[in-house]
Amino acid sequence: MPAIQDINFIPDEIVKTRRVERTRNSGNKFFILITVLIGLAAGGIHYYNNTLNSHLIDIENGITTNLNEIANLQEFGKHGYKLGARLQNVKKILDTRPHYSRAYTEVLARIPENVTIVGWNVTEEGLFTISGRATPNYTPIADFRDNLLKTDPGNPQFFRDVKLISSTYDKSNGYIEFVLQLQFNSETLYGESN
Amino acid sequence: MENPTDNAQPGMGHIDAPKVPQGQVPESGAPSQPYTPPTSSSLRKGIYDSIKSPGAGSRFDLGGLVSKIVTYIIWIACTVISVGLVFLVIVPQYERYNELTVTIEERQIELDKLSAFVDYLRNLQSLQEQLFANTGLAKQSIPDEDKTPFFLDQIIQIADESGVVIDTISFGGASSIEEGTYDPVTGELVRRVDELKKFNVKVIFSSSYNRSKGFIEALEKARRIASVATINMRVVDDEDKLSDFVVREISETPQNPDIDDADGVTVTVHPVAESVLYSTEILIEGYFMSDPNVDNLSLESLINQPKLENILVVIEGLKYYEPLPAELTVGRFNPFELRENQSQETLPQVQDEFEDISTDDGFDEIIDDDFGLDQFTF
Repeated sequence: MPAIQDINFIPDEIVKTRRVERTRNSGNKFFILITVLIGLAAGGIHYYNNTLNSHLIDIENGITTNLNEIANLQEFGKHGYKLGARLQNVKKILDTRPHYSRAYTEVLARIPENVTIVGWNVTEEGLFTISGRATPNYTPIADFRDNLLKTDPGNPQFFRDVKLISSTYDKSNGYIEFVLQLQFNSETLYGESN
Repeated sequence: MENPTDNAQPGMGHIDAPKVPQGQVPESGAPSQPYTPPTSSSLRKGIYDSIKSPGAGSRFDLGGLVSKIVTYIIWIACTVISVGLVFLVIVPQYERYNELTVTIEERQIELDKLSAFVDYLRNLQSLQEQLFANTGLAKQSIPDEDKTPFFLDQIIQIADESGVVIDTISFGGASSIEEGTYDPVTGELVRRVDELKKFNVKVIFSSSYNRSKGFIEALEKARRIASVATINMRVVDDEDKLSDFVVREISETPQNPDIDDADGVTVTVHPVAESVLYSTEILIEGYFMSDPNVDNLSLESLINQPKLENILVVIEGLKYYEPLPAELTVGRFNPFELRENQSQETLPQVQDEFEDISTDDGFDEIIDDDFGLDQFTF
């Protein structure tokens, strides 16, 4: 009995056939699985695209509805635009026009006692000259110039580059005629809020 | 455990088969496949078949062939279906997906933009009364072209209110403000849709320093926007004007120049403020604009304008001068018509009448009474 204990009685052909069958079955499963997966992917992407397409149709409908409504309401838009255009021009003018009444106030507050304003001139370029008359000497003119350059605490400087460009002493009446040239600080001269 | 060889009949099997230890793979078998011992019944059947028909392995096996063909058909069919699905469904659908995604993104942006426009327009519609009121307010600041005379009227009212005496007003005609950008190819100016025009008015008036300031300040605070471009102020040496000024101005000036301001602080008023007469020539710029042509404007530019509600608040805070009703009958006398139609007998009588109203007691008096003007030229 121990002599035949390790003998393999299974024919090779059977083993081979079974192996082929197993391989075939595995192949079948593999191919079917792949096909099913590809089928699922194809179905999935097709379904998703249909959903996207429906969404796109909704968007297009929304656009059409909005365009129709815009066509109906466009008159209000035109009115709004015309108003906006006018307001833009108002803003532009208000932002760029000088407020010379402020210059009047500032100059008056800075005139020394012995100085009289004889005249002043503001050109379109913003060059400002003040003609005055001082008595009895040049000190009031110097005071006036210093006053014009003074800055009130908390407020920006109103005038800058104040220059005495001419002065004439008239012995007959004791007056000194002078001309000061100065420039405005645009920060204080322009704008509605100052 | 039952040993597969236990039931085998001696001498009837493949005794030349290699000895393989139990549980190991035979040499001829696939090395990767673990050895599975056959069951006793299948082993018995295999041995029986090989004894019964020793040449069976070499015979034509139809069942195996069919099985093989079916298998290959399945494989080919699966491959064809898979390839078909990939190239006919997945690839086109993927391209369509990419296309749809981009399209949806673009159209969604368009929809959002249009929705914003619709919201804006609905808002305008709901505020249409306010819209028209604001338009009216804005037109009071920069009116249409045909409202230019009211600007002059406003100046006269402000002068009257400020206590300055206007000597002359002259209106210099309108000019356009060149706005826009230059075409880089043609070099031509491409005008902006909203065209602002301006005109100059020269005003010469006499007053004290303070009243001049008040006049200019009132111009700056008038709703009909005026911009003072130049100022030329001189002390008046004219004796007649000075005497008039002394009578009218000094009598209105307080004897004590020190006045109390609102905070109770004593402010010293410089003599220049009230006691010196100045003749001032100012150049005032007035503005007007016609409604822009919006027919060819795109929806974006129609709606995407900067919001300027704060400007409306500023305009509202400015003083509006109602146009004065006309008190002069224009064309009351037409000397040319009189010459043509009136007979020689009646002409001297009409001429006398015309001379009467042209004297200081007539025409000038009417002008002075109504406008406070010495001269009014267009």
